[in-house]
Amino acid sequence: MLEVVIDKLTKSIEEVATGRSFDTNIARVTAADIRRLSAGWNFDWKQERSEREVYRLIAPAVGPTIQGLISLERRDDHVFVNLLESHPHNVGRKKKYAGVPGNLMAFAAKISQDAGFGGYVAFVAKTALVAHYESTLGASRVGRSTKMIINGAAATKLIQQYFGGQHGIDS
Amino acid sequence: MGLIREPDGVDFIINSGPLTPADIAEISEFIRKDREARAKSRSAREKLEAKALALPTAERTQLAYQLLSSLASEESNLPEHTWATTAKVQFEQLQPVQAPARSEKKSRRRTKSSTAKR
Repeated sequence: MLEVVIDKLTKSIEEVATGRSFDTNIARVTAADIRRLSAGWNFDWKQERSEREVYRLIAPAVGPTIQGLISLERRDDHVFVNLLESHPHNVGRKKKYAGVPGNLMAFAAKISQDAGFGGYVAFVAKTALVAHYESTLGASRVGRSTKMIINGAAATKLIQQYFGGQHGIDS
Repeated sequence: MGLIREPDGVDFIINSGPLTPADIAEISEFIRKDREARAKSRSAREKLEAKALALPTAERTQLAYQLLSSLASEESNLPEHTWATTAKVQFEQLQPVQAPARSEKKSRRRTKSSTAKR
């Protein structure tokens, strides 16, 4: 059975140049989506799609371009984020749209909540980003490692922030 | 809505890489402890709720309002906290009733003391 998950997010990415916000949606990535990825992406998303659940984020109002991708694994008690990447034009000081990664992490939290894991999400951070994830995502560091956890309370906050109670799952 | 922006010059990329069984166990242990801590704090709050509900209405609402203020700083999902929301509503409804009652008491005291002086 092909499962297609579409979650509508409200005004969740922002065009850096103009400050305009755009609605977005997230769905399971297809083979066709992977084929039309432009050059410049860092990770092998084709390989990733064959091993894990991969989701893409688009902003329909600005076109079908995939603005970001995330790959997830459902573990026994949490969702594990293996990879997360923004479109190459959303990287660096001259990025086109801001807010893509936050959207995708909120989506991971929602998947965890819907799967009965209480919103727990784990991932491994770059050392330089640990403090950023603590303050923006409410993530906690596991000991002194760079492994990080978003707990139930932080997940609820993220979901409310990005989804605002409006989402739907189509299958 | 508060959009999460990446800091200037920093790109939000996750590449978790393969985890060892020890890493996975460490994550699960962290989650287990976090769940326990949250459940403890929840049960402490429930006991407090029961205690508060046993108090007379005016005292209960006063206490509830104090707790509500402290919860506001701790709870990220406050709007969904039914008890706190109900307490706020009760407090707001009772506030105008309580105010004249206090002034009545004061005026009664004044009358008594002025009568005594006379």
